Amino acid sequence: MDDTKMSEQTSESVSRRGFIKGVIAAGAVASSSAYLFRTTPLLGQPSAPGSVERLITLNVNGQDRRVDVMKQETLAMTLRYKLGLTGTKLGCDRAECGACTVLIDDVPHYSCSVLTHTTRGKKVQTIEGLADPATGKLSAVQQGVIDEQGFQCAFCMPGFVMAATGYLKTNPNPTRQELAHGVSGNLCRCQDYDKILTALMKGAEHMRNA
Amino acid sequence: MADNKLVGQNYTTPDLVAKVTGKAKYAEDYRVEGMLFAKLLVSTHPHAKVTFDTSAALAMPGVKAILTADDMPGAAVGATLGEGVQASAQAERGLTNEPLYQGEPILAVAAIDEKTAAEAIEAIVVHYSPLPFVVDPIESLRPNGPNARVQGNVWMRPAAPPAAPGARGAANDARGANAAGTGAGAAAGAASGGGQAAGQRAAAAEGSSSSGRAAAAPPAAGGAAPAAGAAAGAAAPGGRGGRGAAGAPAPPQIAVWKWTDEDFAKAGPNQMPMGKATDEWVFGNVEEGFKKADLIIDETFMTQSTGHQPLETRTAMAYWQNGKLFLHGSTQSTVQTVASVARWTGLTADKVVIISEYTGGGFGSKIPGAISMAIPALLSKKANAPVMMRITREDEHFIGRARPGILARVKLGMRKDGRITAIDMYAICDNGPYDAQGDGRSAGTTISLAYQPETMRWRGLTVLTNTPPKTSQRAPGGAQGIGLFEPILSKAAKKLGLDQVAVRRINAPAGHAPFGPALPNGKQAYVTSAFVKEALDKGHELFQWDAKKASASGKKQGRLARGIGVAVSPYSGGSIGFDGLFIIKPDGRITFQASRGTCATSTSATPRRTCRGPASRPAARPRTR
Repeated sequence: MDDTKMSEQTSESVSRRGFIKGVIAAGAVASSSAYLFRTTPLLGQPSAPGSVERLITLNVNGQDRRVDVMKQETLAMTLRYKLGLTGTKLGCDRAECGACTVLIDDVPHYSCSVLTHTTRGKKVQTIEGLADPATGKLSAVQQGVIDEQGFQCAFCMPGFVMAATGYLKTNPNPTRQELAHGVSGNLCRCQDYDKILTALMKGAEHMRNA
Repeated sequence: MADNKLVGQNYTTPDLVAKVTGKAKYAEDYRVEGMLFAKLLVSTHPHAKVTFDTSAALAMPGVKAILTADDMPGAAVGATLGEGVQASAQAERGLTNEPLYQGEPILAVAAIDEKTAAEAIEAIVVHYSPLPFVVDPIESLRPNGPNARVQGNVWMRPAAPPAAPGARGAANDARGANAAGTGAGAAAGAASGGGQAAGQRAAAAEGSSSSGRAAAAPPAAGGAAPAAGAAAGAAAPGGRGGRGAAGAPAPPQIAVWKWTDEDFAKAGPNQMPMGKATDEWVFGNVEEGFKKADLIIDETFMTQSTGHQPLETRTAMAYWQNGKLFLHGSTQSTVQTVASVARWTGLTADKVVIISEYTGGGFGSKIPGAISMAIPALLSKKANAPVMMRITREDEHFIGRARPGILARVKLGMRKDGRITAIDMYAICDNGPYDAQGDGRSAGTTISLAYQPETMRWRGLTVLTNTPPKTSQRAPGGAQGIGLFEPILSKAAKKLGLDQVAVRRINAPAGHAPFGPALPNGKQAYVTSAFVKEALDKGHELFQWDAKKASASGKKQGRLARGIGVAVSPYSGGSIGFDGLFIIKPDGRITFQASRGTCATSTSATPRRTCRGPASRPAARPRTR
């Protein structure tokens, strides 16, 4: 992947602010049903309205995964409950906290507010997909977190790490303030922001040195 | 330090890699085959009697079981609920037929999936018979004000029998234990158990915190209860002093407590009224203290209730195997949670297995787990299948906990040189609908420690409201105390033209700094050491206070006004028996057991910091984060 090329593409088309606005608008539509989750069809029994599942193929962490999803199912639910990728956390399930942030075609998205079927044909990346699958080597941002011991309870960590990873693709050499803005869609209830930023800045440094 | 192989060296905590790769499992990350999902029916009223018909819901395909208040064990009267809060006959039970706040769970449905469970909730016919409710403690204290519960509106302890000869001894033990540096827990044990060892044993047997906050204190009626209660409160600067009770503790009781129209008229519109209190302590002659003062300030302050809102809600998943309950939950202390879950589910502790590898924040709200854990536990038994109860953020706003707000009035007497000669404080704790919290009292003891007034009186009321349940939150009571006192101190210093650091320094605790009420021997409890003056001096220098003071005037320059500030804040730390047990065994192995009530951080660093050399590689078992 050519980071420079990526950064040009994404910075042209998507601003974080615009993205958040979009998500908030979408969230209003999705949230009323998004928290409800249907695991398995009721065998031999009539399905409730809106619970019809359809088999689709998703590209998650570089692998094609075939999965049955409801039309109103959110990506967070599919990842967590159907693909076993529980590293993506649900903090609020309404596009406020950012704990569920994943990358969709390298752009950070709140997966609680993205309908799964809209990600067909796109590349979804979660916290589980950051480390090198062959060697287990951590990504630059992950290593930054380890080096600086960012985060406390770490429930917000996957979201922060994904948001930072996505942001750094658009701006590999940010100031501390720029990076703070880049992850401003993520909340840490432990109030560990200073250490988090230090860790993410370290990650940016690792990324540039790689 | 040069020979130290571990202190000052870099290390990676064992949890960090799992967290950063998404492998760390929090409660909602576990899956069990055949797992059902639960949804809650919560009250739409702040206070009501509820009846319901679940027949249509039960008939729905995919619905497996419905759990109601009738399935919950009764209140364990007298049990310690963690953080020193003592269970009453009116204790929370997880589900209720008389909701006491909007959003209180009434019943829970287990179904094959969440959607079915939610549809079943919609199919339940609920009838509410509304009861009076109140969300503002002051409104409840008005002559005809509503009561949050049918039993009344304040917590108080029943008057205790006359002082037994042992009472004085207990109080002295408390002081002694505190002076020995063992801190709050030991002192609390002494005050509540009639003897330190007994107190600790009792606490350990219950598996509950031996260092709770002093609960609603006894009425100031003399006798053993106030004395020992005072000791419990006093023994911890932050007020996390007691199992909240004296001797063989009588559980606190709800009473009806009203002020008069005169009380309200006397205060006027801008000050907190001060009718009769249920609780009071004093040291020194406060009237004389005010006479010595050159400046007297009398102010009303309020700190609001704030929800803990950990990013991980109190989701829990449960299943049963061979008569044992296995519960995946979010907790700040696995040890305390085993005991509390046993009590909430009516089991003995040996039948409860708690699995909690990671916790997404608690901030005091998950120390003994969460009472909502009992719902998937008992629902799983009823449905004979594993049950996952995901708690949504909206649920968490209701059933998650909150720090009690405190409304307080503080009268401060200060000499020209800044020394505080007297404090007269009245604190009203917004307790929520359930068991008595000790924040009002600990606000008082914290102030008495941080600012070392020459004399002080504290009065308090613990008022019930129909608001979400309250519990300890980061420095319970202490934070509110500091939050309301610092502005008054700053104002006084400003009026007297004193430097803000200097006024804190002259009042700072030093050495065996006393705090809290006068004990039966006439003296106060004290801390073993205090170096606040030195800390202020150091901070003054490092911060370059004088230079910054000149540049940051607080006056508006363009769009911005820059100012500087200083504050002093102490709090008690630790829970005896739960902080960490460090054992060196005869075979040379070192074990370290830790299950302290942390907010979020890893405990594993402690033994690594304290051990040295390759032979002492600790078998650390971090239990809580």
